[in-house]
Amino acid sequence: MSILLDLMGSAIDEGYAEAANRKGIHPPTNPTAVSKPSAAPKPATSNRWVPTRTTIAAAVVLAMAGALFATAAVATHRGNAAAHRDQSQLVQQAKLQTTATDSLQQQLTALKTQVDAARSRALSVTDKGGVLLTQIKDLEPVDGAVAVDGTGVRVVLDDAPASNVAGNDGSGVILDSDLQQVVNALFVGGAQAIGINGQRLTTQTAIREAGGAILVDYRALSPPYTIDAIGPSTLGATFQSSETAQLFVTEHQLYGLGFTVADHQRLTLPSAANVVVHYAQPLDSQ
Amino acid sequence: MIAALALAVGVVLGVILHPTVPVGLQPYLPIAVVAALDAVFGGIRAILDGIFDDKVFVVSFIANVLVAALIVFLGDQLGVGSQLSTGVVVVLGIRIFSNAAAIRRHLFRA
Repeated sequence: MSILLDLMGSAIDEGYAEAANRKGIHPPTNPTAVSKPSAAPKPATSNRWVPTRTTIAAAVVLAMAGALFATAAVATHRGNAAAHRDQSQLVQQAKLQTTATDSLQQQLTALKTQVDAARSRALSVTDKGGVLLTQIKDLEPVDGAVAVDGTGVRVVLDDAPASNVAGNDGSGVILDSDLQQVVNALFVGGAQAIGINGQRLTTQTAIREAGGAILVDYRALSPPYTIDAIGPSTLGATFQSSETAQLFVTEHQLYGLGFTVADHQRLTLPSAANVVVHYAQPLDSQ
Repeated sequence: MIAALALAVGVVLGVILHPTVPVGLQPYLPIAVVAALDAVFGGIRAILDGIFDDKVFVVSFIANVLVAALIVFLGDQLGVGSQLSTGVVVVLGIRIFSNAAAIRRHLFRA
């Protein structure tokens, strides 16, 4: 306790009182008490002011203090500015790379269309090839290799508004597991093709989280998350009666989490960005 | 008068020259500033109490700044740097506050 009492009691350096005692000035006994008007005697200096060595030293030290304050302020300001500049540069780079990825994606889609056309031509020459082509055409929509359209359901998930209580502590934020649950419930409900924010899901697509952003097929998405599912006309009703949907309805009412489900007569899903064949090899290469 | 002038000259010099602080010393700059503020407020209060002494001010200023930086440096070496700097800021902050309160009482008698 005594350390704390010392702290509260003698805020002023005791050296001043001692120096005053040496010089014969009596400081106020209680340093925190309100001093009487007469209790502020003039320092024991002569009428003519003569700078002594210690006065000059005090002035120099005060100048140092001023320089210290200014330096600290400038350094802090500079640090903030540098951090801001770095951040905006990173954002710019990320945007640039995203644009580059988008244009590459377009090239890929165009090339894929060419490959598909070439394959169709090659296979339609023989009967066996024709059968194979039919098989491919059946499997492609499920695999995500081609763009599809049809009746379906659009589920929109969004974070709770920041003004909401749940929005402040992070509990009102949509997580990767939320998207996984919704996607799984839609597949259970009979969905044949699903896309999140325009990213088509395949059997190999990962929905995961990295650094607070949700990655679907390694593309970072930002809320709101629109999940389009193409399936039978009963898909919407089946999904809405599922446990997952019930849970989200409750959270929507309690925390203001965005959750809407709507049936659509015609939804279009793009083809998946990368359909990689792991095991099959062209016959020629063997 | 001369004190205010010296302080102003220091600030102007700092802004104009903006000396670069070595990277190793940068963590101790804020602590040094708080310690310097404490010494300056203590000095102002001593002037108002009529017991100001140049030598005490010079010594207390330099010693405060160095000791505060040293404590934080020691804390960094021990792995409790942020906690110790919080402690230093709290202690010096309390002192600055009570000195400011005493100065206020002197100036406004309230």
